[in-house]
Amino acid sequence: MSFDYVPGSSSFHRLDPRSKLIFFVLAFIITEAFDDPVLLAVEFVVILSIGWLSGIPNSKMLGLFKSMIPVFLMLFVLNSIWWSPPRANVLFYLLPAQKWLPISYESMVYSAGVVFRFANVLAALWLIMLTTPISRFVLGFVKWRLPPSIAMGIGIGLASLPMLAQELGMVTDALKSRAWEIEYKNPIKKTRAYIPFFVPILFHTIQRAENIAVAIESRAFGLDISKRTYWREEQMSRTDYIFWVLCATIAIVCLVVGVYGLGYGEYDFVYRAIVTFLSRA
Amino acid sequence: MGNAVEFNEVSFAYTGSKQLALKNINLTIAEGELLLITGPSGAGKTTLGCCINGLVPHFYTGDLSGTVTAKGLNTKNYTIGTLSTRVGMLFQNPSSQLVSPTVVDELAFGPENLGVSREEIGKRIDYSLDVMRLRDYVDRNPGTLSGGEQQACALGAIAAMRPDIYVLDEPTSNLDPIGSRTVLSAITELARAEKKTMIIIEHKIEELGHIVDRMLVMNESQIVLNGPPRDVLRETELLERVGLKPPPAAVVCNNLSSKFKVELGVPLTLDEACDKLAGFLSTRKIRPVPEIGKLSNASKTKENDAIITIEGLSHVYPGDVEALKEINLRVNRNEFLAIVGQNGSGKTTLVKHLNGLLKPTKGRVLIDAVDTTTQTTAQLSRQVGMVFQNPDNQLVKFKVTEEVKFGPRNLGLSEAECETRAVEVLEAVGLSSMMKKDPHELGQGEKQRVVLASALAMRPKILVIDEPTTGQDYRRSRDIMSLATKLNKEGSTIIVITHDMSLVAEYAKRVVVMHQGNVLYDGTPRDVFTETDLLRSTYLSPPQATSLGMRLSAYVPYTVLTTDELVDVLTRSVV
Repeated sequence: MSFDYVPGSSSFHRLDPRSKLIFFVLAFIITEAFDDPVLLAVEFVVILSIGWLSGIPNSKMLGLFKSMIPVFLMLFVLNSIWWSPPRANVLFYLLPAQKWLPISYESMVYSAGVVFRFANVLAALWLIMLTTPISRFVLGFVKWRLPPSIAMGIGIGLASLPMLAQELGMVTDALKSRAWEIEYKNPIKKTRAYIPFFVPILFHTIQRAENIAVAIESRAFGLDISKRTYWREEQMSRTDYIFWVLCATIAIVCLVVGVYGLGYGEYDFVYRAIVTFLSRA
Repeated sequence: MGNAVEFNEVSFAYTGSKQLALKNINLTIAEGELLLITGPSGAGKTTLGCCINGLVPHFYTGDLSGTVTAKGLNTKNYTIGTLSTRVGMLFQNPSSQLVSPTVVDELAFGPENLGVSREEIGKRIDYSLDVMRLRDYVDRNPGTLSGGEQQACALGAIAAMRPDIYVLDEPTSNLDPIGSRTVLSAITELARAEKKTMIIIEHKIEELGHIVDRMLVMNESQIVLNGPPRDVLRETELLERVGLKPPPAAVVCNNLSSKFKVELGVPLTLDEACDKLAGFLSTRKIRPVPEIGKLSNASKTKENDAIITIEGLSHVYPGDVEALKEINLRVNRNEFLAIVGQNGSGKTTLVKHLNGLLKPTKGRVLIDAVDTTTQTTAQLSRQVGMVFQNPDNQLVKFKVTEEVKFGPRNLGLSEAECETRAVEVLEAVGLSSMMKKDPHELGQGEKQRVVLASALAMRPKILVIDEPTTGQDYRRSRDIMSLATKLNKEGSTIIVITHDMSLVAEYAKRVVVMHQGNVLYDGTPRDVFTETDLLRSTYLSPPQATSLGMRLSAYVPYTVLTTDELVDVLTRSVV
């Protein structure tokens, strides 16, 4: 998985990082406002479309989702098994003889909603990470009065992710070369297969933390953080303010429509609405 | 001109260690001086460097006696932050010191911490981008740059802070030849442009001898040699005794001087050595030297006994990056093969196909006539042992014996068999006395040997060693290569990926040169090193002894590979 910034000059790229965090909050509110998987799928498509319009290669976003397919499947299956409303239309039982673990139409619709809810939050997060250099986030945090040392810590941590991912790849190669199997389909076996990774990764994390501490200390980080200057300057533009108003409006509309009207607590609202419309027609 | 740095009776022991890392150091470094500090691993070079910017004793704590002053500041009394306004320090591993998401942010990081105005930071960024030739990488994540570019970025970040003193700790040790050249030319450029005090800690004496004003050799925490490069390099025996590799040109001149009772002096460059030796030889009566049998280092393996067969191998990484293009290669049983080439030339991608870590996009790879696509990496690991560059990525246990038994256990061997193998291989690599130690607490050279032992315990027929010499000093590099030679003599097929041409010349029987995913040349080291144009196109160069021999072709009628060979042929040619 790679969250490296994709350079670009799209409108979304140009937004202040704080506006992008507002966008993330909006995406989260929408996922909470609706339960219907169709409406949540619409939100998913909208987020992907913003990414596509911002010049994020399809392969990049879809590649990230591809790597999450096992998690999505697990979410769907587990929710289908464990969530079932009263008077559900049971389609079949996973253990038919005992009539245990029912899978109902309602539980499957609900689970599809859960999967989309999770996917939407991820999509929004990835979209802002792919369109924003970490340094701009750091500046955004500083502008939001986060102590510079904490903001820098978050920035350095995020900047280290590609290197840690690279090191994880090297550890994987080294272990596989010593006959260690990790390609299990069984999730429990797969989890256990990763236990030996703990030692080298822990070692790397500690070493990297020490190296970073040495590197930043040697570059005057501890001199006087209150007098630190910033080469880049983050200024909220008019577009940002318009974007905030737009986000707030959409959030309110979605909450009102979701809670008082459509979709919330009705997992197949759209489906039923279409069926009703077609039967009337 | 005053002194930039002064050490007065400085001794230091790290917290928890009874051993002194520095012993009675007395040293003055003048302003504007370019000083090379060299010595074997563990000699105390880095500790000395860390004293100058205050990391010792403020970050790396311990018992420090005596005084260290940098630009008049007693380092004990000032914080690292304050000292960093005068001393800039570049560390060995380029990726470990880069903390920002883009190159331009990395360059701005130091000046921002110093509270420099935005306008001035912009000017400094421009300066560093130009001097370090980084203009094309402004928005790139430093983690995605090549090693040489990363180190240039780190050096540029320090230059942007405008320190009075630069301490550069092994700035080229993790780099390939072109990366080394990038960084060394950046250092030279910076030294010329800024006329600041530069302290370079390095093993690569032959590449730096002509650049620096003074050389200082450390061994066992003390300074053992200190003086102008020519004076220090004259002491070739002492340099070898402490585990350093004196420049071949200096060794040859020293040898001929003492053998023929002449004063050839100590050359610092190849040109100078060539002039001195040609001048001397032209005054002597020369006889033709017959080639001696041992000079042929061609592989003595049987024909048609292939253990590795690679047919039409192509590999394309996601994002359509073509790393290998239609490679055809056959490696016979019991060969000692070196694969050389720049970073990104496809060397590691190629060897990762041997144990199935990568599967061919096109073509096939056969190990002992078995197609690698039909086996898992675990199955192939019985045939192909792989030792990677960084031992820390490969250590998963807290006891050396357990580490070595990890692979055999994965193969499903009995505990008794695992134990037998562990004892056997640890003895072979000289680590019998460290069986119960935690491998993470060992020195880098010992860790490398643990990793090698772990691969050997699986008794592979083929052993692939990726960059065995990175971060190792000359003596340790030779130890690892000698062990590989021993295994080769016992029947193993050895494949070594390295940038160190002198080790290739000394140990390999066959060399494959890779460039942009292709095999550019395949032959004996003697053949490969005569192809100077081909090597130049891949940014590789023959070992200094070979280059010198070729430059003296009027007296050296064939390609020599080592300093000893060159001394031998020149000595025999003089009547």
